[in-house]
Amino acid sequence: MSISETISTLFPRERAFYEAAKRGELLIQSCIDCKADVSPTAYVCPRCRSLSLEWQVSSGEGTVYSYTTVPRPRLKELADQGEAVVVMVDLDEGVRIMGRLVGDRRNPKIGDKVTVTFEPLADDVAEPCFALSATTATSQNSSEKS
Amino acid sequence: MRSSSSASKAAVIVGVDDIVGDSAKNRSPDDLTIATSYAALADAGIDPSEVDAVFCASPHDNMPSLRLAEILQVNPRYFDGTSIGGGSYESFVGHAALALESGSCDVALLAYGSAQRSARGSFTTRSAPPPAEVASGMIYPASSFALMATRYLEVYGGGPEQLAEVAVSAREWARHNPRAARRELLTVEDVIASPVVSSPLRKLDCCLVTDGAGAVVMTRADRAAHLPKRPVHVRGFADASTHRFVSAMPDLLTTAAAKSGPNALRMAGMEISDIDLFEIYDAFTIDVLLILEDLGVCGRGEAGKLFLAGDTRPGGRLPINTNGGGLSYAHPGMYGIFLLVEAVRQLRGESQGYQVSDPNTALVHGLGGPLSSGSTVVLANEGQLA
Repeated sequence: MSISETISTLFPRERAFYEAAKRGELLIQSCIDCKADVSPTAYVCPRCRSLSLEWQVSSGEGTVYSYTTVPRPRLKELADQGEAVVVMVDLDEGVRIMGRLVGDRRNPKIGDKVTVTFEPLADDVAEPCFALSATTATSQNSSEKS
Repeated sequence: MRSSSSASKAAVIVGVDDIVGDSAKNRSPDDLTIATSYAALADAGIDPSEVDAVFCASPHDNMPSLRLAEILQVNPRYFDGTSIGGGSYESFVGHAALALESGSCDVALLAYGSAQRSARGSFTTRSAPPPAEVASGMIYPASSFALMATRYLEVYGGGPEQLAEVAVSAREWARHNPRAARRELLTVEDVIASPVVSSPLRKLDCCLVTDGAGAVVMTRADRAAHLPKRPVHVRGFADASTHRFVSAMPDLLTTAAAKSGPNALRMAGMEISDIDLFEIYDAFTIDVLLILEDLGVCGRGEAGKLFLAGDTRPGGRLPINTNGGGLSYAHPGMYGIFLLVEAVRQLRGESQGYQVSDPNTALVHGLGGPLSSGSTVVLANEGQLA
């Protein structure tokens, strides 16, 4: 299994999320009827049950809700990269999203601040990932000293 | 309480069987399914030709109840192949009870067979997870449960020994059960020293991959009065779900058991404190902690203490997973049928070597997917008072 193969099978509506990532945008949805911020994977507004959802660009800022480290991920793209750190992130808009933690520091804690970052996949698609925000790194360092 | 059912029409379990260990190896799922079905019907004292309702979920066939009818060579008038994961068989008990009590059928057979181990685990899932989950590097099914375990340990505090104690408790039961797959001594240190699969879950936090089969036969109480063995009464049942894939799970620390458990107990006219033993689907150690808390056996974040205190082990006040569970007894893909078989054996007093002292009530809880569905069944030696 590979990330590229998984995305190549998607229909246009679902594929738009990865095309936006190529432009440097993390998409979530917005309910046209009640203005709620909605998960990018939802088809129904969780607040008013409307089907009228439209894309909006997320701030890309969020907080770690949970995480797990996979020592030997099975994806082709990750084969040579050692362990994968999977994160569930609560975006500042109140929408939860799943991703992979990338960057130098990959030992998160629940509540750590993260920022979206985009990993290239192909000419027209990229994958949204997350990196620990600088503020989180600073606060952890200072708490270790105290 | 199911008001429509008079005592004589109430659904009961009258036959059980399972095939595990060496006798399950290198046999096709159909072969195993027929063998265990015939044994459960013999246990019930009912001829196979009398089966007029079949209940089957399977990772092998997308029309599993038709397949069961074909290989059994019966022509049922009631079918159910609803798949809500490994706990589908707990859900089937409720469906079968309603079908029996309404007169839609007279003899219900719930059967399962899998060659998962001999087939090298190649039947685990055919479902496509959301692309964001796949791309994250998650492995299935372990990472979904690992995300719950991480949050459990960070929110409530405590280390991996909280999880490990669940595996050790299961093994303590298995050590008394000659049919359990794993019977050697297991310590908390052994579990923590086993390789990380998806942190914080280690290899020994994960269920076994085995071959196996199991079957349950149900009918109504009036028919059971003329059968050789004492019936086990289906007193309550309920299903619930919270999501399909973990990325849509609203709260990683609250499972469907928080709804199905109280609803099933209410139907049974019982409190959680009335339950003598628990059979809880243990695909991963974290499952048992979350489900016990959702059922109200203990407070939030406190389930680990029950295991640490030895309450859940042989001789303890809260016997849990008395055959050794999916962690040490057997786990052929979908474990739900085995929970039911063990609960019935315990209530009948047939679990030689690991028999709980005179139990009258049992709570069986099956889960499906990454704790997506929850199906609770309350069983008792006594029927509902009229």
